[in-house]
Amino acid sequence: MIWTTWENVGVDRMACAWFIRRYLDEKATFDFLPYGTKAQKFENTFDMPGAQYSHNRGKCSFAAIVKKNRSKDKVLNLMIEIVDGADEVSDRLPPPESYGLEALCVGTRLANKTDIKALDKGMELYDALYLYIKNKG
Amino acid sequence: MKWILLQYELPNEPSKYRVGIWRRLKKQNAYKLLDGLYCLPYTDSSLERFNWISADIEKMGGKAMLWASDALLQGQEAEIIKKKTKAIKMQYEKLYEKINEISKDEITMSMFKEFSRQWADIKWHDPVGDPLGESIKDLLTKIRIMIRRNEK
Repeated sequence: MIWTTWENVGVDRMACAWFIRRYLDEKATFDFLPYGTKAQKFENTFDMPGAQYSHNRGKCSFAAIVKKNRSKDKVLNLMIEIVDGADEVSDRLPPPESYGLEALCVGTRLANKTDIKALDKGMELYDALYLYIKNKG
Repeated sequence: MKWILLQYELPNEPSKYRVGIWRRLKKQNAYKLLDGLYCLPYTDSSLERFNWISADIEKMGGKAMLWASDALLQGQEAEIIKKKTKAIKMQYEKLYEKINEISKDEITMSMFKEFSRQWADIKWHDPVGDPLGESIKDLLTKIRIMIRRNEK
């Protein structure tokens, strides 16, 4: 299935793409639209205004996709707080992990020529974050 | 230095829209040039955040435009950076006062962690590395050493 989002992926889009591949659609491919494009014309959209999974009530798009599909997973719920803090959507003070995650996601995008390559690398980051939280207990 | 400018208009009512957008711009440490005109240094993150705010302004029935720009007059950037730096300094000062209101040996580990998170949040937005930020870091380090010593 093709999933569509805005270009220039960062912390929230990488988190959503990771969730899609790990929990919803293992073979998902991604398409990127320029900033400002409205989501309404497309199917399977995330982290863009009007998307199926988007910012809502001061929470990031990753929160929307997790709450809809895996709301009881404790690790994922802790990840929401970290992504929210890094994405600066929420007014709450971010957990300490947020600053590092933001730096790594921005750096990953800068280190890769295309959004798709950055998303692929982002998968490893979020696998690592998931395991870190899970093992922390 | 390149800047990103957000120019917007919102309907007068309901006023909660204006307040909501103002709060978000403040949270991003956006600098107000004029009513309805804010700027941030041009980065991937600021472009992303202004794009989301623009989309929300339009959803509220307003109009938003984004521009990339260079300052053309001497001293313009220095003035903006000076004001942003002043705003950050005020946040540091507030935190410094808060820490010093409490006797050092009464600070618990959870209070220390909360102060540290607040410090990190200011530091993240600090464009020049204000010396007061470093002083608070030193103070927090001393407090942590004291807490750990008392735990033994």
